[in-house]
Amino acid sequence: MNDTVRIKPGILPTGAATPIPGAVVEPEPSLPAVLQAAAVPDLGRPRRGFRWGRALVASAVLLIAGIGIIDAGVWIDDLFVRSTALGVVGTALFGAVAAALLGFAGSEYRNLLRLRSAQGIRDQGYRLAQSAGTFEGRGFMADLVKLTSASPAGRALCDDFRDALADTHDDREALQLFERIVLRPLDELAYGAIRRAARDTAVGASISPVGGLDAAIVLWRSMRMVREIAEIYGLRPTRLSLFALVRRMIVTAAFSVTTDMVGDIVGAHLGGRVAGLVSGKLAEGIYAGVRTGRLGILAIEQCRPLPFAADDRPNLRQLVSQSLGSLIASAAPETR
Amino acid sequence: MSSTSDDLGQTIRTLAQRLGASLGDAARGLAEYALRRRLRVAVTGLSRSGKTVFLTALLHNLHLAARLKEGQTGHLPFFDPVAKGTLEDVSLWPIDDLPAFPFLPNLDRLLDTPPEFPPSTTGLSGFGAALRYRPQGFLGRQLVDSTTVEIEIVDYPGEWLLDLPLLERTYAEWSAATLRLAETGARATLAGDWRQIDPDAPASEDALEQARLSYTTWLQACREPPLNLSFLQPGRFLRPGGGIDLAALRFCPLSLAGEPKRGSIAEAMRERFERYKATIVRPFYETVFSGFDRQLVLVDVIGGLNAGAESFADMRRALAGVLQSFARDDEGLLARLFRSRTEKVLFAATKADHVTANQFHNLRLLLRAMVADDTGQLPAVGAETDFAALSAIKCTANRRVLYQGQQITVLEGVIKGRRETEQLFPGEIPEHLPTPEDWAADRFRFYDFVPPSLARDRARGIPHIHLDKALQFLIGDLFW
Repeated sequence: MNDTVRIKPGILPTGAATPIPGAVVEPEPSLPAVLQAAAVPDLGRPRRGFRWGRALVASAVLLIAGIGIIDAGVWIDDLFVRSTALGVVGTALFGAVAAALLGFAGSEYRNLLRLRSAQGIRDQGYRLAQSAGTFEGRGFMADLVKLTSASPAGRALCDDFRDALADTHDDREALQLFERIVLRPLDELAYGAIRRAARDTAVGASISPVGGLDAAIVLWRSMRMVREIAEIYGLRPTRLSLFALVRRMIVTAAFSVTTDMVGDIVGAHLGGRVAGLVSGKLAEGIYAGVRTGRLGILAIEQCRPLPFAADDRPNLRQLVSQSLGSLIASAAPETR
Repeated sequence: MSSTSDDLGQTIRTLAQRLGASLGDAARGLAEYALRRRLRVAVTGLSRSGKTVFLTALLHNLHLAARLKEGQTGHLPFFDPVAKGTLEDVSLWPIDDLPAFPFLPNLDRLLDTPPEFPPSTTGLSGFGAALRYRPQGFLGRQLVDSTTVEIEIVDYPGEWLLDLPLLERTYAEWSAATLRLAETGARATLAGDWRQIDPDAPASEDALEQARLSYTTWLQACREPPLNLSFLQPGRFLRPGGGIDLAALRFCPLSLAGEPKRGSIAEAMRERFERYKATIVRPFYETVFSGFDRQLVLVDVIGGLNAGAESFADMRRALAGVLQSFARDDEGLLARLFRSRTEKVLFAATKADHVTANQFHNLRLLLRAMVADDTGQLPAVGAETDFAALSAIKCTANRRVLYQGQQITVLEGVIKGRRETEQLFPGEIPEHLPTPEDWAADRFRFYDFVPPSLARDRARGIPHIHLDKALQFLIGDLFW
């Protein structure tokens, strides 16, 4: 800064300045490696020497792959001995399977990377929202917009946000605008997904005739909800990355204070009045619904790129009572 | 038997339902009445601070607020009822007991092609706005579907606020202080007939009127370029306003030695001075000023920087005078007399579009430093105070450019008096009061710009800077 010449105020001669297009309102997307490296915190334990577990998995995978490839080689060789045509067909079939497998692995891997970078953005968002000073966040805003535009509902909202963002808004204001214009409507969608899932699991668990079935219903429906929520915030998870997301949710939940709120809620809902009114099966269902609701909020906290403002936090009690209230009401008279 | 009792039952039920419905209506009406809020917001500022433009843009954008979408010019994204989408409708009306602010003629000028800045207003005027919204709070939501916040926006010249300190002074004290000031700096260079008046000369209405004219001319010369001074008392000489007794203005400062002689011009002026305080200054504070719930004080900080060190210092002096009106230290007699009900005061540096967006922060800090005393302490105002940088009409755009090998933000707009769109590096705003070196270096030269053409489209808002944030600070808390 010191060695640069101080530019004197005044009218710039025509043609003296080269425009940097859109640099103020919307800078070039900058999803830099630096950002990811800095932002993704290491959730795992500190590194210990050699990882035997990993070595075991890797060697087992290699072994199975090796057996598969050798077996296939032998099989194809055998086919060629019988007839060239059979050999060609066999090679083609094997090639197709191998290509599909590679493609699948590649897309899953890319998706995992995407999730990681999204979570890097989220971590940075959390830091920026808490930092007190002014920040140079335009590059970050571009990342945020790019991430959220991947969601079907987010795309239109991001367009609104781009329109609303003026060249006179500073970075903090840009963040506030994003929160107001984009995230609040998305939150509503996510709450809707939670309400639906809570209702479905509650109904499913309370009417399932077999013991194991309700657990399966809850698991399947919850996973669908997590995926819906992730999609709402633009994460587009696939199998592996969904798994990674859920893992992160569980890790966070294990260490966060929010864990206790479920006891609170269940107590409030099932304690006394309601529990006395409904049958045991229905109570189980409601319990499953409450748990799904809690899982949903954890999912939002993991997927939302910015933290909730203090007065804006989702209220599990309200969410669940909205979706389960009618269920309880409809069931209560019958059980009387 | 059973059929008649059924009929009777039916009738009673119908009656009860009707009663219930009308009771419900009445309750809802009562709730709506209870939730309805009305308050007075004052907008003031010394001349050239951009009051008229501000009010015109504010009223227009407010009027359209419920209809404009994100990204449309004039949208108010930081005004909560707009951001949350709870604002349903805004209507404007003239206030009964006040001259109407010439909103529509001013708007016509701004929307004209080419657009023109409206002429400045000189007296007290106002306009009302009724904002209908859906309450979001728990209680409000239960009671009514929608309710209304009515605000009366009143505009008065900031010069009038400079008269409050006169109430604490006698004519002799005021004369001495004003004469002392008139002998310093740029003021000393201005000649005026009033300086030659002999205090012992016999009084006559003609002589008094001559003195008033001479002193008014002198004050006007102080206010105009090249002097651009602001601390000019009494304020009514420059901005008389309507409906006042002009005879009370027939005085000027005189160098008094002892008690004025009977029948002398000095004695007559002393009497006028007291009359001025009693019939003009005091009633303004008692009937108008004390009735404001929120106040917005516009300050042309950028104009002050342009005008140079002396003018800037004088503007600070005037701001200190303005602030006395708000100050509420319990010791002062004035404080006890005019305990206004003002809850919030926002000081706003106008014309923020004259600098690039990265200077807004400094502009706010500088304004705060101007209002504060020399130790940086803000006087006890007794109301929530905040500072803002805003522009009621945004005439420029910010652009990032590469210039002389550096990335800088420049302004793009049509400079007043020119025709083409040009790029301008406006320089920086200091965050502290400018030092003597700053003034010597000729650092401050901010250009005025031509307003953007709005093509006579009344459905379009006026582009602004942070009008919404100012509005949110002033009245945002009224929307439950």
